[in-house]
This record gives sequence, C-alpha cells and structure tokens, in this order.
Amino acid sequence: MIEAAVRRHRGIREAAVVRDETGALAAFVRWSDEYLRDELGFEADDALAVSKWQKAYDLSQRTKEAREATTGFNTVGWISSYTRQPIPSAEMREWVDTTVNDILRFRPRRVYEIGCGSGLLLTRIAPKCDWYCGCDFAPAVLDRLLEQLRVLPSIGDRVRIEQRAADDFSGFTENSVDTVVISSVVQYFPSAAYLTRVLDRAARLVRPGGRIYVGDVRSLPLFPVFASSVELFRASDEMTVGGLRDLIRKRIGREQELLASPAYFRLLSRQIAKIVGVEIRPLRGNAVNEMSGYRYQAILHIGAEKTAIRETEFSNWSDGRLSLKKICDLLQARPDTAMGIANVPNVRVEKDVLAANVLGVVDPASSVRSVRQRIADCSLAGINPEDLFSLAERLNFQIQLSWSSCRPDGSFDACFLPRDLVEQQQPPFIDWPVADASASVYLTSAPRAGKHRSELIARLRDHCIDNLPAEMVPATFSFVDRIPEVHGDPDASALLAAQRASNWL
Amino acid sequence: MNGKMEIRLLVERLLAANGDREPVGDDESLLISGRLQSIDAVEVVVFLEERFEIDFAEIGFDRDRIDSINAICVLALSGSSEACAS
Repeated sequence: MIEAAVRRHRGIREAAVVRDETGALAAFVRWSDEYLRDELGFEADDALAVSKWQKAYDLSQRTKEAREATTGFNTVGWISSYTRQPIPSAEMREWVDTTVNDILRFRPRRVYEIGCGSGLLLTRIAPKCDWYCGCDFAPAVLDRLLEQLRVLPSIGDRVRIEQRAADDFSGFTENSVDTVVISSVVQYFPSAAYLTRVLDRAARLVRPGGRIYVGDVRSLPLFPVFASSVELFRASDEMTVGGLRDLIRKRIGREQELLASPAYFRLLSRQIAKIVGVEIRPLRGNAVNEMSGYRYQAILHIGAEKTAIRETEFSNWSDGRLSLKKICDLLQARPDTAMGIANVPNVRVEKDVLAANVLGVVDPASSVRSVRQRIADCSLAGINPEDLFSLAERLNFQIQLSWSSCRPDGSFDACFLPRDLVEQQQPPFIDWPVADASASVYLTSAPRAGKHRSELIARLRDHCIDNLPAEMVPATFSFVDRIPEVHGDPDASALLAAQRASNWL
Repeated sequence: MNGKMEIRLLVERLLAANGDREPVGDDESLLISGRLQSIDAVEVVVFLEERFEIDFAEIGFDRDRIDSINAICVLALSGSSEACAS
C-alpha cells in the first residue's frame, strides 16, 4: 500500500519501501528522467555543466605550462588530488603507455576518439591505424593539438581533428569504425543520462566485432575510500578524527565529477542491444596513485549476438590462504588448466581501505596521529596486479583481471588461462564472480544532485502526507538508480546495505 | 557595492553551493587547497571577463592568480579602473 502510494507520484518510476534496522520506514525511489528534465530543468542543467567543463578545460590550455609542454606529451591539467601539484611525469608516462598498449591489443584500424584532448593517446595510436578521428569540445586544446600534429610526420593524412560535443555524432555512418575511445572523459559528463546517450550513439558507430573503450573511469564503489585517503594524507597529526570525518563528508558532498560503478556498464547491455560483452579491468602499471587505485577501464564489446562465456571455477583468496608463491606452485602443478581466484587483496588501495575502516569506528576525539600509528602497525597482504602479470608471463599463461565485482575493499578477481588454449586475438569472456545485489543500487554519482535533493524530498514527502496515514509516511527517502529484486520483490537487504555503504561516515 | 565585496560574495556563493559554509579569509587558498574545483574557477573567470573585462585569451590563465579573494582582486584591478577597495 505504501509503495503503491509512493509510485502514484508522477515523477516516480520505481519505488520500494522497507523497514530499516531501527524499524523505521525507508523509501527507495527511482525518479523518471522525463520528470527531472521537464520539472527541474535537468537537461538545461546538463548543457550548462558541459559548457562549464568546456571552459575549464579550455582555460587549462591557455596556461604557460600548456604552451611549453613537450610535443606529444602535454599533461597539463593532470593534478594530484593529494598534493595539488602536477602528477609526476614518470607516472603520467606509465599511464599513457599502459593505456595505449591496452587499446592496441585489439589491433584497431579505424578509431574515433571522444575527448582526444592534447593527443596523449592519439599521437601514439593513430600511426598504427588506417583512419583516426579525434574530437574535443575545447577549441584551445584542439589548436594546441593541431600545432603538435604538424611536427609529427607519422600521423599524416590519416588523422582528422574536429571540435564537437561528446554526444554529437552527426555526419558519421553506422558501423564505420572498429573502436571508439573515451578515455579520461566520462568524469566530465554532466549526468548518467548524458553518458548513456553518448554510449548508445557510439555503439551505433562501431561495427560488430569492435568495441567502445571507456578508459580511466572513476570508481563509485571506492569513492568513500578515495575521499578518505586524500583528506587523511593532508591532515595534520593533531587533527581530531571527528574533524577529519567532517572534511571527508564535505569532500564527498562537493564532488562535481561523474563517477560510475562497474555495475552501470555491466547493465548497459540491457539497454543497448549491440553490447554483447563487458569487461571491467583495473589499470595496468606499477605506480600507486589515484589513477591506478581508483579508476578502471570498461570495455564494451560490440557484436551481433551475445558472446560465449567461458565458465571458470573461482577459489577465494582467503579461503585458500593464497600467496604469490602458492599461486605459482598451483599453476606449475596444472599447466593445462584454467585457474580463477576471487577476492585478491589489492595493494594499491589496501592501506587506504584499512584507514577508512579505522576512521569509521574510532572515537571522534582521538587524533589523526593515533590512526596513523594504528595503520602502521597492521600487516598488509595486498598483491600488486603487475606481479600477477609477470607470473603469468613467466609460466606461459594468459591472465585477465576483473573489477566487475564492485567490492568496496577494491579487491579484484584473476583468471589464469593456459596460453595454448587461448586464441590471441579473441581472448575468451570469463564468467566472473557475480557482484552483490547491493552493488547495483547506485550506478553513478549525481554531480548536481545536492542542488535539487531537498526539493525532491519535499515534493515526495508532501505527496506521501497527502496520500497516506501519518504513521505510514516513510521516515527517509533515498534516491537510487536501480531497485534489485529477489523472487519478484524488492531486495530489502541489498537496498539497506547500499544505503549503509553510501552513508559510511 | 565595491569590487572586492562582489568577489567575496561570488566566492562565498560558490563555496556554499558545494556545501562549504566555513569562513574564508582574503588570502586563503581556494583552488590549490581544493575548496573550489576547476569548474568553479570557470565562474570566477566568467565573472572577471564580464565584470572587469579581463581577456584570458590574451593574458593566458594561471590558477595562482585566482587562488584567493585578494588575488582575484589584483587581477580585477589590472583590467578595470574601478577600485577594489578593502
């Protein structure tokens, strides 16, 4: 009855009302995109946000550093959230090289890059292609790029540069490219609706057998840990934990970039029929920084029919009391057998996850110094993903890693495949461990949600007051992207778990 | 209202939009500290372009020059004959 009443609000697409741990009624609702667009001007908001990001990016290229940047390696604008200084060149070089190698593994011939920026990827991938079109919305960036291309003879006539918005595909023919690259761009999209629109149009452009490579996506499940790690890095020893928690909450609240859960990409195939397989990969590289720790690559495979999935048995890292040495022994013992390992602890974020957990439970009056000492005393068992790649290489296995499980501790899953069984150009799709249902409740962040949140809650609460007895009006309203179901009913425990994770402090 | 007051009001509005209602000193870092993000810098830039006729296409952009209320005032002074009195 309560859910039915909530659903009668014309702006609500889906609703679930459950009792939380205190017995209070908690409403979880999904708003209709049309209502948000028509009643609250979300589309106009989106357009304004895009124009602001365009200007911000354009400004970054009008700096002295941009004018003096090395040809083919203009990393202006890549600022560390921790130090507020440019990310070290060596780390940027590794990021560029590993991303380029990741894309070149598909042997692309016809590429469309959305948000080519200063050409970090374009200048390295285009020489290996027959045709490459790079677009960006910021004119100063494109001016800078064109200057650089004039001194790079290997690019020649095969590259076309255009100024256009990410969602503008006018003039392109369907099935005309094999790869669309969208790297380090989606965080500047104004909303999930905009992102879906871009990916839907991109999918039409890609021929069967091709892919959309969405690179450097900021991880939503790991965002609380990231925010916590940045504020902890910058906090003095004398600060109280309560004060630090406050700074973390504020950082989370003011985030204006778009973050996405791997679940968002996995569920896209239900909306975009041409997507027949989705891979979620942690970034490659030895550097431990905010890119390798808190971002991932989403590869959307395009085809005419769903791809065959290779079933693989996964053992759990902790159950098997595994280590690099044990994995080596197991692989050597069975060189012709695939081996899957789930829940591999991730050295890139392990300490930050531990710190976030400690901050969530200690007395708010205690000092940051005490938290640091407590973390320093803990032994860590995280694995560097690159060590697994080296191990696979040495033992003649192919390895795939996945982050599709969306675990908030940043752990990943690994699958070792005997190289003899793998066709090099068509690595199999793996049946990765399924993410918990709570992982698909929040699919993306909502960069401007705060602006409208209070109004939306007020409208919904007023509606409930008008249509329900007082004791049935929900105490809380949460806005979600999806309401998972179990046996046809809303999955209450998944909803409440997702809510707890998002209200972590 | 003098220029500095307008600048302060703009900065306070941008901070409030991010849920930040802590006081802000005239020399306190806004961008480098992370209190404002690059998308907020755009609003400061647009304000300086429209209100004080600063042409960033001509002078280039340096985030240090808009990193505090006082810094923004100095930049505003360079493009306008209007006083930016404290």
